[in-house]
Amino acid sequence: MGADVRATGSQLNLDEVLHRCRRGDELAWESLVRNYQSRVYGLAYHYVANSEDARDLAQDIFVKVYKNLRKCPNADSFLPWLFRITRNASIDHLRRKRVRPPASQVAEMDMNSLVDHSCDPEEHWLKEVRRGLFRKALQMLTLLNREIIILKEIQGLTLEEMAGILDVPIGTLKSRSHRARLELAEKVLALSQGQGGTNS
Amino acid sequence: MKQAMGCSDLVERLELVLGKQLPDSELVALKAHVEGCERCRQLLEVCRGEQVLEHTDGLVGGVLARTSGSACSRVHSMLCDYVDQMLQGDDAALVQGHLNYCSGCAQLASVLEELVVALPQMASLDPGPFFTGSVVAATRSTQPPDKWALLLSYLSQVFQRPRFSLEAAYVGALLIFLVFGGVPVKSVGGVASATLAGFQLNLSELVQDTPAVLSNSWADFYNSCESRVERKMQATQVALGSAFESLQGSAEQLRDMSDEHLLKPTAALIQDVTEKYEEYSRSFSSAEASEDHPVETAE
Repeated sequence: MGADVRATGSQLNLDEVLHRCRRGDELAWESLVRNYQSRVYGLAYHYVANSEDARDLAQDIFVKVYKNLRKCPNADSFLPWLFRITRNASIDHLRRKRVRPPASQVAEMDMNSLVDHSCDPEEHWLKEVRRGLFRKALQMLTLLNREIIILKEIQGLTLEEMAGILDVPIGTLKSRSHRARLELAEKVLALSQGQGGTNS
Repeated sequence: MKQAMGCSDLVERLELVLGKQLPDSELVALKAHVEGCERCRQLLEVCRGEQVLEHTDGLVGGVLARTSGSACSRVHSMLCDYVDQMLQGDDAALVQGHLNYCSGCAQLASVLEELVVALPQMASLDPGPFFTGSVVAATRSTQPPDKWALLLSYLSQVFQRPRFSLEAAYVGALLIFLVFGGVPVKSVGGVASATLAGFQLNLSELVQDTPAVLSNSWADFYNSCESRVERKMQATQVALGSAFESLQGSAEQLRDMSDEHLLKPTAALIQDVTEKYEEYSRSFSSAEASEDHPVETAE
């Protein structure tokens, strides 16, 4: 897991960027925000399932990251640390709202905000419909299974990194991982059949 | 003479036919029948495995239900590994064989394969063109806190915890008990207990010396206070004496002044008035007496 690979679009070494940010370099900080904003926003969105809430939450998360930059040990552990902050802030947000957003609210997302480089509009539309279905199915899972899918399958974290974020033993995560994927596939299948068609 | 064979004859001799144990004479007669009978020819092909009958799903399901049970749950437990191509050869072939006939598991496998591709693409979402600017603006006024600020923040968090007062009270009570309770910590051993024992020893010496020190201090304090009070009283007496003398002098002056200017003139005036009154009385008495006895006076 190289820090440079994850910092999409950046040729700078993440350690150097973090060092400059700690010294108060605004340009480095802007670069860091630009490189990680889509992942933080995407992760927050998968938790709160509301684009406006996720945007406000992502901004608060970056302010929190800025204030606690000294606590981040090095570049290799930056992304798990960032995801831990995002996850905790999202869980706090959900607790404050005291309700899990119902699956029906998932469809209100702004489709244009998705990062996609597809050129074919029809293919793009079909892909977005399908992703909407996946998100809806994701909201129907239990919290732990949902977090396993979000962190492992979507964000690509390792089991060790997930264990640090979720505070769950690796063995439990390993055994629950397949079950969570299967449960998600079953939900997707049920939703697809409920919409009058199977996987297109 | 060659004997003609029928459908029932084939069924009766089917085991011998498949085992190639039928006599040649009967075999020739059976072949002649099979060539003309479509049903018997199909039966032979099915028994030899040369033809697979269609619509046997219900048959397999029925057999599994009466024997080992459905294989779908077993396939589900292996499906993620199958999609990830992590299964070994035999297991992969068995799962593939099941998927060829089980439409439910095949659909599930298809969705899992789709998710493997689609989920990583959902990691990033664009928060909009103004997001970076708003974050930078929100953090512009906030400088990263230094170590002392972080330490103060941590301490304030610790002190604001609801249980902190209880923990502090517990630790304080424990320290008081250890220090003043006379617990024999020397027997326990260890650096901490040795330190505590030394502290207790010093404390006991301090407690023994404290009364004498306090007594001496108190005596010094009392003496100094007494002398200071005595000096104050003497000074006050002197001041009061001079003030009394001054007041006495003033009173004498006032008395002299009143004698001189008020009492003496008044007494002289009173004496003068008294004399005049007596003189007038005498003259009035003599005049009245001369008017009452003129003859006697003349005689």
